Amino acid sequence: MENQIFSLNRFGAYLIKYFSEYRSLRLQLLILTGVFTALMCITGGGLSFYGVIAPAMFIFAIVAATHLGAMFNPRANKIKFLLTPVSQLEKLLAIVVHLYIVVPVMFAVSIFVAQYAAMLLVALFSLSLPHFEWPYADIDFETSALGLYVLSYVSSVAFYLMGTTIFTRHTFLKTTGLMLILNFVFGALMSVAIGMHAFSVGAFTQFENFELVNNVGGNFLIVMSVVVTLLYLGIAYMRIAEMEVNETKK
Amino acid sequence: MMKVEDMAFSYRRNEYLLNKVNFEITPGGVYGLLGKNGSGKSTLLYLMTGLMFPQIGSVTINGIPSRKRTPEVLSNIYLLPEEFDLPEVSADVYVKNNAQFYPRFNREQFDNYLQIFELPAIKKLSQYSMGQKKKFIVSFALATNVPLLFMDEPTNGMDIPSKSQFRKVIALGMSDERSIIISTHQVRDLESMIDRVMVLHDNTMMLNESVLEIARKLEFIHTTSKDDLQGCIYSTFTPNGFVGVRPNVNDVDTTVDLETLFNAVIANPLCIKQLFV
Repeated sequence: MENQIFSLNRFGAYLIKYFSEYRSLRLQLLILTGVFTALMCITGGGLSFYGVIAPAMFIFAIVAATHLGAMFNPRANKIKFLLTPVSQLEKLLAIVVHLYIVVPVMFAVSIFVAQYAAMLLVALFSLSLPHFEWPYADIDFETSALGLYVLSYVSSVAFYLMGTTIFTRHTFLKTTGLMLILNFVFGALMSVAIGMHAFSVGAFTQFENFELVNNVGGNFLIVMSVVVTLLYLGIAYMRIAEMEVNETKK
Repeated sequence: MMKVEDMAFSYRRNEYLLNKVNFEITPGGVYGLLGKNGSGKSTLLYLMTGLMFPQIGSVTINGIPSRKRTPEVLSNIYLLPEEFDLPEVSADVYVKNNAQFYPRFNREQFDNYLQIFELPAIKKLSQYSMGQKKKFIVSFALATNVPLLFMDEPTNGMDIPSKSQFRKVIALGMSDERSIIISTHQVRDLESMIDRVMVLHDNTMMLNESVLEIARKLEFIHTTSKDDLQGCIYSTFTPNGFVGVRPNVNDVDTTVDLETLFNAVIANPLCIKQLFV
């Protein structure tokens, strides 16, 4: 008998179904490419990773995580989601693949295409020869802050995914509210624990707060980030496993 | 195959929609699940398929609680809900994406059902009308060949010719290894199709009996004279005369009239219960 928790064949088949039936993926890619092309045309090709791309991807992923609530509402979608013959873990992993792999890949592809589209458009309108460059050559990027950005992205997206499985209505607002409250509590606890330094709302998920990182210690932040991400995903898993179709009536 | 034991379910505390429900579904047969609006037919389907969890008792499929929703359990059941949505993909892509989760899916049968329903070939499923979508999903559901197929109001949205096509595909899709549970309040749509009648009333399964046994124990009367209705546990006047039902004390062979039976169960549940103990 096939493993009831995880089977690679079954998961692969579910991934194909998931992305094949996900309506707006191609449209999203097209819009992203268009926006980045326009931005690159305006700026002459250069884009700041942390100034433009990273925040855009951050917001995009959070909105995408919230939008996944469409799988649980209306009821017909929820029935389809819950009764597809794959395990709860495989259902969650497909969402994780979407938010942690497909979204960043979509951004990478759209920026790649946008770079050359912008190059051709600029050459066309300025009646000059296109100035060829390596892919992503004009992206202003520093590796030092990447780790913090990745941690922030991973934990925040996991939080919004958890929120999507908990709140069926006004998901974005309620999850953001919960996040602010938790950040406030966490920030207060941190400031008490450290005994000094900033009373920092959003200290944990805001990647700009380098001072705190240096003071508390990068390793602690990494461990905590991984722990809370797993906690959020664990809660999302349990919610999917215990999800009922008529919860709103209760 | 499926066992529901001492099950109780409520949406509100101490207000049971379903209480002390016990029944089994064995392979081979079309079950008609009847009940008034709000009697809990859809809720019972959700409980059977593991989409909702009973507060008391259990629902098991081949010994596994349905609430666990394991891939093995889910690949043995299919629920066709009253309202559903089809993705914006072609019929072929839909079948390719979904059939792989049902090991007994038969493409030839599926194409045959589509032919019976006279569904035109289209580029995307979203181009179908609501009734056509229903025919498509009924065809897919039957072609999965799952041992337990649940249908919630499957004939809603179907026109009159489609209803006879529906009866035809159900007859074709039946086998000794599978059971089809059809929930509806349109009892006429089920006539001459079901093998077993289940009636939900007063928060419990008031009747759960085979059509043969019902025909053996009850006599259905269609008459123009009121005098013929003596001993009826339920009777009413219709444009064609009177219809009634009474205990079959004389071993008369009559066809089960589902609408009259249903009304009898609602009007005189105690009498029906005593007859079928």
